Formats: sequence, structure tokens, C-alpha cells
Amino acid sequence: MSRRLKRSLIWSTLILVAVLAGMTAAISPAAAAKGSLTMAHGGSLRSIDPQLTYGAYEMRALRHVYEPLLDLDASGEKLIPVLAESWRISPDGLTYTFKLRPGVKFANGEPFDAKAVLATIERGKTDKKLGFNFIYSAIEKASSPDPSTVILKTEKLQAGLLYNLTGALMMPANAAAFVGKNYDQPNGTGPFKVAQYVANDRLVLEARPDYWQPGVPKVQRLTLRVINEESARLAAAQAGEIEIAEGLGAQFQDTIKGDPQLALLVNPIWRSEFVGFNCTRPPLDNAKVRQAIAYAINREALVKNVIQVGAPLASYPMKGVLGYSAKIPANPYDLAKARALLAEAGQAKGFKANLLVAAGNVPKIEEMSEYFAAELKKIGIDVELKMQDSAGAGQTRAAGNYDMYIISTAVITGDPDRYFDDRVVRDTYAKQGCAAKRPDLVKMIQEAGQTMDPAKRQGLYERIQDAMWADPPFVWFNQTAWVYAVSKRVKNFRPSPTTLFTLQDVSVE
Amino acid sequence: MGSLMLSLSKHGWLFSGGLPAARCRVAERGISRFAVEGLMRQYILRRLFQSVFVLLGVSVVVFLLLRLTPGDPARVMLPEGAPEQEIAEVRRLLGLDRPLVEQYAIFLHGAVRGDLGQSIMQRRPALPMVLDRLPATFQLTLVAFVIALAVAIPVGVISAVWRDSVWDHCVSTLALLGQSMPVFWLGIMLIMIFAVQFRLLPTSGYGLTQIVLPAVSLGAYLMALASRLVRSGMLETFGEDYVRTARSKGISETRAIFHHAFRNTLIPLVTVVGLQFGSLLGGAVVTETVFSWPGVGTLAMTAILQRDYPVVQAVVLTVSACFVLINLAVDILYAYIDPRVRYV
Repeated sequence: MSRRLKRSLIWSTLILVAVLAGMTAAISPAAAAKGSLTMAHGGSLRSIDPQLTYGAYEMRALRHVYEPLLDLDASGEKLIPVLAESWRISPDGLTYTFKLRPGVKFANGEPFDAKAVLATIERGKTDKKLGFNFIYSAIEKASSPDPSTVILKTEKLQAGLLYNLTGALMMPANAAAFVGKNYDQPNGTGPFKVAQYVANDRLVLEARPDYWQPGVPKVQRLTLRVINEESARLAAAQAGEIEIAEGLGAQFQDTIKGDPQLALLVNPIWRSEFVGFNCTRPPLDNAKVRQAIAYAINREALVKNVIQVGAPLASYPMKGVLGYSAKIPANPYDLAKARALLAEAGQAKGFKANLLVAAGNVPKIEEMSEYFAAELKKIGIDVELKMQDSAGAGQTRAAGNYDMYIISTAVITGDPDRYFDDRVVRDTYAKQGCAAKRPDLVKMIQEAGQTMDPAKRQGLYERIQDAMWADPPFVWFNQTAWVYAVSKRVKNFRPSPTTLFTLQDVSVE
Repeated sequence: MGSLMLSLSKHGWLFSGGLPAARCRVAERGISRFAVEGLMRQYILRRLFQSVFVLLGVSVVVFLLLRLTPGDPARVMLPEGAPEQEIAEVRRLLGLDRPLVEQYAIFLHGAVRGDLGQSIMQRRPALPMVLDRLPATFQLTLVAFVIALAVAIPVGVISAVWRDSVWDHCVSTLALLGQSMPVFWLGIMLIMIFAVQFRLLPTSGYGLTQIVLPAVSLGAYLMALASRLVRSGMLETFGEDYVRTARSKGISETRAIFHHAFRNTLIPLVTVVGLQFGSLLGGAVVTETVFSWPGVGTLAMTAILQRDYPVVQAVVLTVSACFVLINLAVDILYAYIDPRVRYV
């Protein structure tokens, strides 16, 4: 071998070793240890700024580090105290007084008090680029007569405010200095502190020995990983690398059941897929046409054969959420009635329309769109599918270049007002929204959003749903369910329907 | 791949057994070693200067493509249902309401100072985000490259030596499969077999053991391509006069294969493989997604879906710069392998 060749080989080997050695110095996953739990999901982990993110996975991840004043219980139906020990609402419904929990500290030892709450709210109100700006902008004024009390005043009645506050994670007092900037110094009151964070890859958390709630967390180390590819996520669970794989496709249910190390868990969540309409384009501006479409979809067959998980649903919200109406059947499938309604609307021969699909964002949405088109074909409506990615579809909708669109929506705060306010009243695309022609509906929704009595609110939402069924601005299909593969070594894993559950009570054998 | 001027010797430098003799012949023609090195330096500087214009062109194309693609970063940034006035306000805060020319001028002004903007979604400088992830992609690409060549070269040589044997046919079939199999599918299969079934390697993540499966998956195409190149190149050189003469002079078959035939296969191999390295770098997106490898590919994918313009621009420019430098390195390697190659 020539000297030159030998020298080349030596240099090449040294470079390769140096490159590979760099990996051991860089990020590396923690070895599976007793008292450690790893959960993987798809989606993203864009930031550890608790006010910047609004995705369900990100919010849930950061709820292990930061906490809200109050939260929903495991069923998602009841509010429970967290950083606020108690609260009361003034008789006029415009003032909320919170008594803060004593003895709570941030991860750096700083005490949690009213200053932190005020700073969190100030940043939330001032920084317009935050994901959940709407929570803070609903608060007209925040003040504090003493370090353990916070008073929030609203300009108008807001029945959903307490529920919305479950999404407001409390930050330290220096948060106010980070308006417009990324709050990348994780320091919360939660049961864990951040040991390692790699954007869109993993968040590694270590248990805090000084956490205010005794007995939790049950694991010393919690790792939340992003594994976007579903097959790879399940494979990681099968290989024992992770204990919980979340959001798997329904087609994997038999595989999970067949694995002796894994348990299948199907968790219905408060998420639904639906079709919206451009009511400026005839004949979709005709209520009978939209009613016909609502009757033409066999939701049971859709759930059984296409989505393969979840439950049929023809109204919103779903059972468990305030406002659910049992009067509207889950599957009002009636082709004859659909044809009759189309005939009454003067569309007996059918018509052509397009359906804008935000592909890739929601499991099986492409298949659902194809099923929807096939069902409408039976009553003479010829549907052309327009597939775009989520961002492109959003732009297309905003420009009004669609007849119908299909999308997913969720009630993550447990209160229906945000959904109704956004989707129907303001209707993101209000120019084309069907509610623009329904001042009666808009008035009912606004009234329900300002009615503090839960029983009265329930009655109002039931009337709203009757009105929406008679003249549908949307056609709902289903209530989604998430599929989990859970290691049999995991104990006490109970995901909530809001998807914003934490894992502090979960242990691993 | 740059301009070549071959300085041909009467018998070819290989005939006389190696580089030192070639250098002598260069000296005989009165061109000193220092002059040769000076020409090389000029060539490198000229290529680096040209690459600035290449990158400028890339920046214009990616800038325009992003803004012409449907999708508004302000709309993506805020939750579904955000009012139009909030979206408009965010667009204004991000500078997206300004004319395109002004937006590009702002971007270019920052770029020449090393500032490629701030990520819209993560509110962090975009270039450091890319540079944080680039080593992982380089590591994956380099290991894929090494594995591919470590397998392809001996397999290709043996196929050429044992032409038309059972081994040769098996290798040809596997090479065809390797070039046909989708990377995505291959990656999932490797996970199912080696990680789930036999628990030999991890399914995903980042580390020394985690790199094996993605590297094999990523390098499979190159492995197949390179083995076929080596085989065909060797078969061509086996028939050359100098190899026949070398054999007739009594040298061993091993020396005839490796010292003479294989070395002349290197030029076309380096050409194709060098280009492929750049492709591997840019094409690791699928592999990184399947194996959750935290490289530039997954960063680019997320940024594109979220319309995070500064990050996409930073990724494209950084990868383009790497591609340009790799091409230059390959051209320099030519001169190293074959001293007949001189650049003017």
C-alpha cells in the first residue's frame, strides 16, 4: 500500500471517528431506568414557551412543567383547584377573585404569588403573536390586593372564562419582560423540571423533589418524544423503547391486541370532524340543500368501515361537554329524505361542488373525504376533492375559493362557547360563513356565552342545536377516539377526553 | 464539474506505476510543482467566487417559491378560528405585509451579515437552528456513505472478477432491488426486522446504535448504484491494453485488479458518488422522518408545513452551500486521484 494511500486512509478514519464521537457528546436518549416513563406522539414540540404553543401535544407536554390556576378533572367535566385554592365570582359575574395556594415554588425556588399571575396575564394580553391570546384578551383588568389574591375583571359576562383559564399556564414574574420574545428558560411550578429539550424531537423531564403536591410524580424521569411516523411509533412500543404510543392509526388495533407486552386503549376525545359550507355560493346558500347533505351521510358506516374508531355524531358538542343535545340522533341517515329535500330546493338533478381537504393533518381525513363524496354521489351531488396541506387549505378558505371544506375541531377547554363563537359567530371566514345570514342564531350563541347559570346555558345550547339542525352551517360526522399502545408495566394511565392530561399519577413497574 | 485539461503522457501514468513518475513527467515539461499548486489555488478561489452567485440565485428562487405557495404563516401561527384582524396584525408584525422586493432586500441585508432571520414559529434565530441540526444530518449522510461504499466496492469488484457467476447474478438482482425500493418502505422493514423482531438495534432516536438502521436505509440506493458502477467500470478496464500488459509482465492478479483496474474505475465512481453525497444530504428527509432522526430534513419538513419562511430559507441556503462545497471537494479529489487532471 503506498504511503499516500495509507495517509488518506488514516485521515479518513480519523474524520469519521471524530464525526461519530460528536454524537456521544450531543443529545442522546436516557437509558431506560426504573422510575422512568416515555410517551411518544406525532405532531410537534415547537417550543417550551408555555404561552407560544397552542397544539394539544405541546400544551400537554408543558403542563408537566407549568400549571394553571384551575384545571379540569379526569372526566373533563368538573373544574378543580390547582394553583388557585379557591375562587368566587361576583354577583354581577364580572369580577373573579382567586385565592392562591400557599407554599408553592417555581423550579428555581422563587415563590409563586400574585406577581407571577399578573405578569403572566400582562404578557398574554400584550404579546399579540401568542397562540392563546384570546384567554388573556378576555380579561379587562388584573390586580392584586395582597400576594395571595388575584382579582380579574371582565368587561362583559363570560360564562366560559374559568374553563378558558385552564389553558393559561402560570409563569414567573419575569415573564412580562419577554413580550415578543421566546420564553426559553423553563421555570414552572409543575411536578417536573426540564432536563433536556430538543425542538420537535423530545422533552426530557426530571421529577421535582420540592413539588407542592405530596406523592407525585410517580416517576423520576418523564420523556415526551415526537415520532411522527405511526409505524415507527408502534414499533418503538413493541420494542420496549417507549411505554406509551399515542395517536396510532385504527388499523393497528389488532397488532396491539396481539402483542403480549402491550395493552390497547381507545380513548374517545372531544374532537370531531365536520364539513363547512361557503354560503355565498348557490345552491349551498339554501338551507334545504345543506340539510339534504346532513341526511345523506351514513355516519355509522363511516365510523365502522373508514375511520374504524370513535362514534358517529351529527351535532356538536358531544356527550360530556356542556351543551350536548341528545335530541339530535347520532346517525340521521335517510337517503329518501335527502333526495326529497334536494327536490324541494330545486336541485332534484343534483349539482357540482368542490370539497377542500386539509390533507395530512388529521388521520383518515382523505378517506373521509372520499367517503363523503361517494355518499353525496348517491343523491346526485358531484363532489370534486381539492387536496392541499393545512396551511394552503387555510389560505384557500380565507380567500373564499371553496364550496365546502372538511376539517377537525376540538373542545380542549371543556367549554363550548369558544367553539360556537369562533366557528359560527365570527366564523373565521365570516364573509362566506352561513351564520352571517342567521342573526337569530348569532344572538342565541352570544346569549349562551354570557349566561352564567349552567342549567340555563344547557337549555340555550339545546335550542341552538335545534336551530342549527334546521339550517345547518356545518355537517358533523363523528366523535374521534385516539388509539394508544400502552406497556402492561404502566399503571394508572387514564387519558382524559380533553387530551390535555398529565402523567404525574402514572407509574411504571 | 469544472473544466479539465488533461496533460497526457506518452504511455499513461499508470503504466509506469504511480504518481511519482507522473510528477517527474510534469517537471520535464517545465511546469513546477509550485505552479501546479498555484493553478489549483486559483481554481478553488474562482469556484468559491462563482458559488456566491449560485447561492444568490438559490435564495431568490426559494424566497419567491415560498411566498407564491398558498399558506400564510400568520394564519398558521394562530389557532384555527383566530379573527382576521388578529391575523392581519401578526402579518404586519412579521413584516409580511410589505412588498416582496422590500422583504427580500431585508432578508439579503441580514444574510450577508450571517443573519437569516428569526423562526416565525419558534422565535429563535433561524441559522443557529439549522446549524444545530446539520451535524446530525452530516453524521447520518457520512455513515450512510461509508456503509454504502464499504459494501458496494468489494461487492462490485468481486462481481466483475466472477463475471456471469451465480454471485454476479445475485448481486445484480440485489442492486436492482436496492435502486427500486422506496426508502420509506425499506426503513419500516428494517425497523420491523432488526428492532422489533430481533431487538438487535433501536427503532429510532439519535446515537451510535440508532444511526445504523437509518444509515443502511439511506445508503441502500447508493450501495446498489455504486456496486453496479464498480462492476461495469472494472469490466471495461479489464479489457484495456495496459492491464493486459501488466498481467503479461507477471504481476499478481490482485495487483492487476486493485492497483491498475480498480484505480481507473475511481474517476467515474467519484463523479457519481460525489454527486450522490450531495443528494443524500438533501434527501435524508424521508429517512429522518421514519427514524425520528433530529436532522435538517425533519426541520425542513416541519418548517415547510408551518410556512416558517426564515427556517426554510436557512435550510435551503445552508444545504445548497454544502452541496457547492462538496462538488468543489470532488473536483479537487479528481486531481488527487489522477494527476493528468489540471485545472486552468
